[in-house]
Amino acid sequence: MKLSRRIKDLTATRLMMVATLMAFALMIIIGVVLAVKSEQILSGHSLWSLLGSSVWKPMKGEFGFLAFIAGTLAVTALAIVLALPPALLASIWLSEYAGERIRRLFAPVIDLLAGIPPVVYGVWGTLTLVPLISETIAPLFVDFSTGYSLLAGGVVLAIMVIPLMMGLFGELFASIPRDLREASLALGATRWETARRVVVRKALPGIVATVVLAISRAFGETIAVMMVCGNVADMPGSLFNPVYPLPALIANNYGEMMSMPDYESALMLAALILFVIIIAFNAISHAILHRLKQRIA
Amino acid sequence: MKVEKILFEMNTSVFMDNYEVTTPVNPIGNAALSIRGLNVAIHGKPILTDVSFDVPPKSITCIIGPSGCGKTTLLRSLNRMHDYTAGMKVTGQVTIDGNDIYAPGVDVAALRRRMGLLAQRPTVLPMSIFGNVAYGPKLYGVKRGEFLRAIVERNLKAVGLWDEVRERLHSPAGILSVGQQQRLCLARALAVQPAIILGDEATSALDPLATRTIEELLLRLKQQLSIVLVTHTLRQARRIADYVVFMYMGEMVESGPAGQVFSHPVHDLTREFVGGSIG
Repeated sequence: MKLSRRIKDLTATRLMMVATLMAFALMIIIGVVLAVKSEQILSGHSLWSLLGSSVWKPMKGEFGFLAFIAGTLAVTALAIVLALPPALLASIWLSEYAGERIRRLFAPVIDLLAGIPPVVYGVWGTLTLVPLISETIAPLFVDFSTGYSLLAGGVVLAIMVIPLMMGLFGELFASIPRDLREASLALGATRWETARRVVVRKALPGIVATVVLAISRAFGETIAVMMVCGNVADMPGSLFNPVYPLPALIANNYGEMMSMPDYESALMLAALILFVIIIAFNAISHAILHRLKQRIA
Repeated sequence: MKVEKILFEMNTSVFMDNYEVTTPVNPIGNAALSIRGLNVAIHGKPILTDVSFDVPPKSITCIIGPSGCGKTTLLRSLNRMHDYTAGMKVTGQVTIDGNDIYAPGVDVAALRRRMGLLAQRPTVLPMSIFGNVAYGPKLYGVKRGEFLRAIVERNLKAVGLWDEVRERLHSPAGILSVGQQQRLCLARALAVQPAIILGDEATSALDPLATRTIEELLLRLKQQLSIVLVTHTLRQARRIADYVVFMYMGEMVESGPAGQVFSHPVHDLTREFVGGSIG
């Protein structure tokens, strides 16, 4: 082989390896930087007092994260609960019932919806959903709500993750062999029985993986949620009360508080908490997925 | 509960004693299939043209012919598997017990239940070995554990798989070998008491030994049911066929008793195909 070809081969190999390692290194670097920056606040307060308290008074030096963590979890959980059933049912209909032409019509629509910038969903939420909740829905249940609420955040987020879920479910169901459906139909199963007992069952690991991805996406979503959820640092009490998720906290305050080292450090810790929650969550779901795959195989 | 018991008893009676019973206890056991003027086209392009033949009861009918002649399309028309294929149009008559399966208002699920399907590659459902065999009976309302267990055991015994899997009934069916999986699929089909078994090159993914096991099972099963088998190997047809249907370019060229088609074919094309000069 000519020397130049050998050099090219070697360079390409190294380059690709470095690119791969960089992705991994980036994760480590982000984690380390966040940890280092959080040290200031952790030296003055114990971690448990920070995580266990819901009192957030930066001016008085009180940094309780509990309300933010609870707010993040509540908005995410609500969004997934609202999004999963319609996304799953619509995907089953598209893959098992609808004709090829309808499927081909819908695929780009779903991709388009997934590609709309979050801020657009946020504006829509502020203009339509918030007044709807404040004027129509909330009065049925509570005395007063501004509309900027856990419910508004959950609904906007749900609408944002539905196209993401549907896109992935669609590919997932398409990957399930036709033979399998026919085996079930040939035994006298109806299409619904086949979808429920065979297609969804076979796709279960993929469905779980999709939900995990949607949750990760919902965890980190900032702007759209921030615009409609009220941003008051209270523990989430009712669907109609405002909440304040972690990403919104960081985005709202970072940059303004450079003069207070404790405050800046507290925001870094908020980022670190978000980072750790997502890593832990992904690790757990990875383990669940592994067991699921073994069981179904 | 009553229905369940009847279903269970039906199942016990039919598959007693590993198919040594010769009296037709199956209420639909005498069913044969009759195909008249069957046309299948996709997007206006014909795949099958005017196919007519009979599937005699309690026998093996092999559909032979070169690749692309429409064998599989023909088989799939027999249990309405084309229903959900866009652009597929089926006309003509397929009658089982004198009832046209393409007549309007036919209960397709009930119809398919009477024809077990054995696909080219084993298609185990994503559940346990037990779950696979119990799948059909469960759909028809058998819920009691003891009934299901009896049905599973009986049908696994019928395909000679019981002793191999009795210790791991609740393991995923995917862990079985390909040959075992195909026998499991056969047991699963038998568990809903079909009158007919449709096989689509059912042994093409199997090694010679597993193929022989399936063929022996089919020969045993024909004492009870009718079997229609698409096969791409002439040798298999010679080994097990009672009747042969020869297809060529979407048309039925010749059909009749295996001995006659193989040794005294009427049509030139058939002679060339069984002689090995085409196909």
